[in-house]
Amino acid sequence: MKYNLISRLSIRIFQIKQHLRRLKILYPVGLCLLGVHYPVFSEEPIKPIPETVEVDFEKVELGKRLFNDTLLSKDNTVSCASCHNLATGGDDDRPVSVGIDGKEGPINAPTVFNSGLNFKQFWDGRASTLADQVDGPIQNEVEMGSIWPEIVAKLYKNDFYSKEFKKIYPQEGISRNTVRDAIAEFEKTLITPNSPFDLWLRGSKNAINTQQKRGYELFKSYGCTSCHQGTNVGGNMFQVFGVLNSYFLERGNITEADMGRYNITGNPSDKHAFKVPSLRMAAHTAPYFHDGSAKTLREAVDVMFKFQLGREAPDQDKDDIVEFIKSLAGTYTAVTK
Amino acid sequence: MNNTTQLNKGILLIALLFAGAAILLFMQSANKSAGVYSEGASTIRKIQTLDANWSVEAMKVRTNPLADFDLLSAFAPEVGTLKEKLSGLLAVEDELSENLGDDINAYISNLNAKEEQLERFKSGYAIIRNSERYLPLAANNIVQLSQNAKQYEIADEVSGLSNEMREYMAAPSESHRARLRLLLTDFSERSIHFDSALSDGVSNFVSHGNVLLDESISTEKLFREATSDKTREEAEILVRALSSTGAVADKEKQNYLYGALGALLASIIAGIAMIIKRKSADPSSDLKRDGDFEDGDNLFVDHDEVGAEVGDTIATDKSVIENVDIVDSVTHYCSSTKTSDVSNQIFAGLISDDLMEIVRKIEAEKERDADLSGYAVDAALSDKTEDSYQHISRIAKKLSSYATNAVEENKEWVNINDVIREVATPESQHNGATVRVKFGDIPHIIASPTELKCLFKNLVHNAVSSVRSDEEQELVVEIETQTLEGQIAVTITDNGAGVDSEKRKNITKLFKTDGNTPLDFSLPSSNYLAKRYGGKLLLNSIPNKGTAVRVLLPENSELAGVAV
Ligand code: HEC
Ligand code: HEC
Repeated sequence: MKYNLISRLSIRIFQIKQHLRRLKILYPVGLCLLGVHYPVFSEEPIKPIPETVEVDFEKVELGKRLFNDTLLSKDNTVSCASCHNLATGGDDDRPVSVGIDGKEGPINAPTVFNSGLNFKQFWDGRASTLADQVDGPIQNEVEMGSIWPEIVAKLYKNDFYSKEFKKIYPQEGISRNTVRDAIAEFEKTLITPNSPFDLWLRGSKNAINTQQKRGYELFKSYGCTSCHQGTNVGGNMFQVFGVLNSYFLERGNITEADMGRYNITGNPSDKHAFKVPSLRMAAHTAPYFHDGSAKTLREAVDVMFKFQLGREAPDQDKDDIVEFIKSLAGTYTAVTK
Repeated sequence: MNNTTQLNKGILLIALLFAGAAILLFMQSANKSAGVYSEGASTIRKIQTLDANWSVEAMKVRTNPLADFDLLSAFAPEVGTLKEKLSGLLAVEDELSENLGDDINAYISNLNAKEEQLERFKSGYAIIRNSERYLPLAANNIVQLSQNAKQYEIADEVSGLSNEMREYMAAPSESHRARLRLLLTDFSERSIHFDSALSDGVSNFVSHGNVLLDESISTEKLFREATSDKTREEAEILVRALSSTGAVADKEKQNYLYGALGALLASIIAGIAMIIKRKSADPSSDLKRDGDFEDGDNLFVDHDEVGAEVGDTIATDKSVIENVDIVDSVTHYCSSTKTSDVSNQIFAGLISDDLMEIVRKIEAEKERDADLSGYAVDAALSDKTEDSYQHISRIAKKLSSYATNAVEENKEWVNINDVIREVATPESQHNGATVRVKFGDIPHIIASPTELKCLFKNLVHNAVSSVRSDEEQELVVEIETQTLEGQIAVTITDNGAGVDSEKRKNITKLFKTDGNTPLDFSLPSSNYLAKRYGGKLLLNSIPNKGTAVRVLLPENSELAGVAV
């Protein structure tokens, strides 16, 4: 009885909406052919890290032990954890890594935290999966300098491993494949959910402070999110370092590692292209960049403005962005049964 | 009595003997891996689905400047696993003919190419969308600085350049690019003499301009290549080739004697099955009683039911406007496609029908509501909604004229029996159904053969795909053409599980919205087409007995092909 114009109209609008929804099957096609930009999406470009992952707990335990075991290196001095210290942000806090015999590597060690959320592994993306990645450090002469047959033999001689592998991998036992699998399974658990920023995204209004909120708005409006977005705030594409100004011309002394993805594809347009790093743990992973050249987060942000955005910004804005980046770091909780 | 038991025992004995033979045959064929073919085909099917979704995701990213790239990046590893599996199958070399092997390799490398194209598209698009946003800001900055310094000609120059860049981005071309490149270089060279703030500003502007000039054409090209149908079409061809080669290879390997035995065995078992099942297999003639049919239209229209949910879902202006945009783009899309795609046309007709129905209802409502003018009304809201209505009714008309006029398909004299023959033959291979056709003596009509094919193919396909009421049951589909009271009647009956009236509501919903799965337009399309020819679609269904769909079309050729 009490229907007025508005409520009647609302009903009709709703009906039209229902009908129009059918059309959504076609709209990406239509829009795309037309080149229409469709600015209705209101979602945030950054998504929270999931709070849990599904893993096989026994493999995780085994992988954790392997990750921390120096047995995997040629002279039993270096473990994965030597360069990826979980207590200090999942990296080694050095510009470039130091492996067996104190040898220096060519490149900065990224954090292992959240690396399972990256679309590819390594700065140049040469490994597609965590399991493939393991071959890298193990066989690298300056990192762990081992070869698989040696490792498999060493693990067989160890009572703990020979028992555990038999139990967890009854078909295959100890092999390159199963060692990689166990380590990768452990690495999957190295996530850092519930950062202040994620809590804020999930609706807790005071999880980050005003400066960080401002920093986030600036991070978006300056266009950092063009490259650093998604769950990992990075880690889902390659970009040339120095899109708008030549970083390497200014820094000089170009090394092979500086060539980035070009080393893998040989494609000239990939010169100096790197996987855009995740900023999730950036609060704890100084120094920054593949060459470890920026000592502080603030320096890194300066460089980004100059070379990736090709512009300057007031100090205050940069400080706010740094504070925002700090709010991205969550906490790692060891996964147990 | 006794005789039949003995007969049955005899049949049983024979069946057992043949079963023994079958086991032998089976053991013989066990070491032949015909599975390679079916496994290959099903792997390719899976890739094909992912491939399609991958392209859709790319389109979403491409149309949303704020989108993140997580999902777009997640397809490659999934497709990768399947590609590996496919390569693994290839390793069983002697099982695959050389040609097929080459084709599969080519397919895999095209998938790799797609991955790389999308990878590069991501990188390019990320900086394009960034510079696209920055360019006008950089231009504004220069305008401001140069006006402050009273260098108005610089302000003019940069505004001009900025506008021209915008035009270029709307329709990038090589010649325009070359021209702009020169202008930017020139601007940047001259800027050395400007004061330092201004010169910095120009170099910022020029950098972003160059990013756009460098990236937009190539990124657009990558995008088009990556989202083309190429790999999906290849997949289609490969699946067909794998299935038929699989079948041929199987045959070749079977020795003739085993083949004959197998066939005999199969026919005897089929014979037994036929004796037992004969009765229940016939679609019930109850289904075809005239009075029981329901008009197809009633199935698809439930506009009024929706109102019930309105209480907690009052639509906002924004949602209406959003959707108006969507309709707009579809209209453009429909009318801008060069190929005269009948399914597009049908789709447009379907939607416009629905929209028109709503528009008519709204008009009626509004007339009634005019009497209620004493109530307090939010004027702004009602103005906006009024605007939206106007818009939607315009669109409905546009779509409808597109559906009826835009594509002038050649109409010719068609005999529906021929159409049925053409659609029934391939369908009879599906789902293990038996398709029987009874051709009546019916007159030719003037119609588009493609549309008629579409009309009946949908219906036959539905019947053949219907669910059996129990697993053992033989699915029989009968198609009958006849003249009934001066109309051509095509009745398609199946003996599947049928649909009860409660479920029928859900059928209706299926054609409506359901968030994720692609919607099935087959029944509404056929209904629409029948109406387009001045006829109608009727449906009758009895749970556990089956479903009958009857299409009535006027014999009178004058009426045929008249748009609704
Ligand atoms: C000597 C130091 C060192 C050791 C030991 C080492 N790493 Fe690394 N790790 C690095 C460096 C340096 C990189 C970057 C290399 C590159 O990108 O080219 C890296 C990269 C990675 C990455 C890729 C992260 C990303 O986001 O791209 C993962 C994962 C990883 N290491 C895990 C491991 C595991 C597992 C082990 C033990 C088997 C291990 N690391 C041992 C130094 C080390
Ligand atoms: C065009 C893409 C792009 C844009 C835009 C971009 N970045 Fe980056 N960012 C990168 C790449 C690529 C690297 C890695 C460079 C290297 O180390 O070789 C990186 C590295 C970083 C790092 C160092 C991370 C580490 O662990 O080493 C920080 C911090 C960072 N960016 C912050 C920002 C901020 C803040 C902005 C916005 C002002 C921004 N980025 C804009 C591509 C981009």
